[in-house]
Amino acid sequence: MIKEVVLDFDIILRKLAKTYPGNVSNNLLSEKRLISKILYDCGIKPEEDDHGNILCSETGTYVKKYLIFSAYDEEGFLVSKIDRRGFISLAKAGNIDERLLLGSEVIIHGKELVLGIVGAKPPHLLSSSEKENPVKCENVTVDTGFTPEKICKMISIGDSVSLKGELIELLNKRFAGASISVKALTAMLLSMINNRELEKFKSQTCISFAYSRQNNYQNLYRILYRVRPDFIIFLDAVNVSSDPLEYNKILLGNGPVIIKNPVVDRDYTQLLFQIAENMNIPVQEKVIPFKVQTMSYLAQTFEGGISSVHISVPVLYRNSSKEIVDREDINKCRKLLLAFFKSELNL
Amino acid sequence: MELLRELTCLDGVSGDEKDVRNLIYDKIKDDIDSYNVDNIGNLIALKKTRIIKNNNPLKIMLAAHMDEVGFMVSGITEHGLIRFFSIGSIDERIIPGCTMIIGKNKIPGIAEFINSADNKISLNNLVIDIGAKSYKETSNYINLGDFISFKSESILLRENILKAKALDDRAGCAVLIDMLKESYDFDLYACFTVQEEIGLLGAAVASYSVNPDIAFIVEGTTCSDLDNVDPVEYSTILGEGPAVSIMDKSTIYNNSIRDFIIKVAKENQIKLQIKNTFTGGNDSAKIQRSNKGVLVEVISIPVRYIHSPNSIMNMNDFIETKKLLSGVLREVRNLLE
Repeated sequence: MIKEVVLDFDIILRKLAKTYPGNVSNNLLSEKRLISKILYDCGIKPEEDDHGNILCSETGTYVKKYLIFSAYDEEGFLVSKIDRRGFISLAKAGNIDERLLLGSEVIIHGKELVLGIVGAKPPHLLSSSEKENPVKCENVTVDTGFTPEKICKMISIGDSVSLKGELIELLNKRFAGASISVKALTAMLLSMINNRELEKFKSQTCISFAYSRQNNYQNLYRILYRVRPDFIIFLDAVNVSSDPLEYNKILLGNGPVIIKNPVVDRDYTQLLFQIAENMNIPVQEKVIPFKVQTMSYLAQTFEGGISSVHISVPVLYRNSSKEIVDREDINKCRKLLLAFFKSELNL
Repeated sequence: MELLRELTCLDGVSGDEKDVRNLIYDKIKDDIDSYNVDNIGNLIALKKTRIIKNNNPLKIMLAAHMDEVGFMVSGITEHGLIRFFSIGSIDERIIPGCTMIIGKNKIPGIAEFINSADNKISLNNLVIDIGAKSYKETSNYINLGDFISFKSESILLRENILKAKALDDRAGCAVLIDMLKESYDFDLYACFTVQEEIGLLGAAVASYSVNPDIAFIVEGTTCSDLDNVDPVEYSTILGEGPAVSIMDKSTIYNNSIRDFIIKVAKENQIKLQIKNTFTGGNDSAKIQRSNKGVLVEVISIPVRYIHSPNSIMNMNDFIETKKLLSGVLREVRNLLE
């Protein structure tokens, strides 16, 4: 029986949601220190590279080297301009839905953290065409309340801007927040490391918390060069189905999603389904159309080629300012991972 | 400051002002001679004149509304998502991603945008998700007609810039609470009105009951002094003090009263601006037309991003508004005589 440790996950997730905003793609920030600190607290010395990636290993008897690849950067913005009155313009970093910006609270990561509001014209003054037009990033500004002289001392062009991400507890053990799917997966892996859950297996497992995934997985190759794994498990989030006519809908709370596409390893993917059935772990499946820039494609063509499987956690309203994730899906994902490694002992 | 924080942390969507009213009563009970909560929920507090033998004292009315913009539950989908409509004027584009508090049980939910063919954000493609999985589960917690309010922290962005929801018009309520601490040579009626955001309903009833000689309305008002806005549309400028109005959509204000307020501001070296847009409206419209007609003027506090969960107010403007109104009340007898 695999032990469930929910408490650790919750504590870590809260820490991440509170002190973790601002890991906006392509903008290396000190928040990665939190992940490193948690790893140090677990007695593990993480490796950090110059690009913001963090690596750590659970060393078993070396038979096969596995890499669990997960990202910790989030969608956000960069400061593109500070105007003469101290209002700040933004440029997108990642795929965040810019229509949702208006009226939001954001945190600017300058020399210090500065809270700002994405300004909206009062509804009393809006023309009907203004009301109908979706908001674009280039048309909004951030108001920090500071004078231009003061704000220019605190922030600079290129500083990252993230949505303020408080953790909101909803019904059915669901929770919401900015980039919460990324944070939940990071919290899950950190709590697994904390509990030494992977240490007991024969294989060596490297866990990577990658940076800049939102910008076309730039750091995947850097990590692959470093680790040179035999096998990769990709972890990320997948949108729940919005098409009401879809038969095999991806739903929140129905378990992790095993991704099928032409490049993931067929046998290992099948093994995941088999394990899930044997262990009574509910899983869902999703077929992702073949695209060149998927993580599994990049891995498959790296050097001599690396096999991979791809597990996703369902997320509602992905890339919005408040994603929703089900805690049960995270628990099931963790169980599936552990069962997979356990089964490897018998392979 | 603490009072403003307390007031702006409360939920009080139009028609559901009870919590705000209770807090205000708690704050003013030691400073007033009597009070009345009328049939529609206005809190009318009376501070009697300090002149003992005055059988026919002047009646001065101050008004600030307790309600805020928000939403109401209009339906629950089979998957347990909540449909809703706006109470008051809200730019629908600010709603997605907002954390909402729903109903008496204060259930948290997230307003989310469901993609539509036209890609435009409107109430038709917005829902609130409380994490429930079915209609049945949601209806265990939520009823049709439940009020929905924005959840937002009240914090200082810097030493004098307050970020909060419902500054329109809890800021006005805080000013009135302060005014009740002084003594006057007239009867002062501080009216904390209801349902301003849905048609100035409370003010009409309150003014009929009080039948004042003159009324001053204290409002949080539009402030759009942003760089991407034409300066003629600024309405007011943050940090430039309270504003008086020439006219708005529903009232043409009295020149003499405005001149009097400008004079008081000058004499007391208080920053004052003239509101330069004529949009919107406030309780003065209903008060002006009550009984045989009432002299009115609005003193407004500039609020950026009004009617959103994250409004911004300059605390200096708030302090200047209190000074100005205090000066106006000291001198108002001269104006009327």
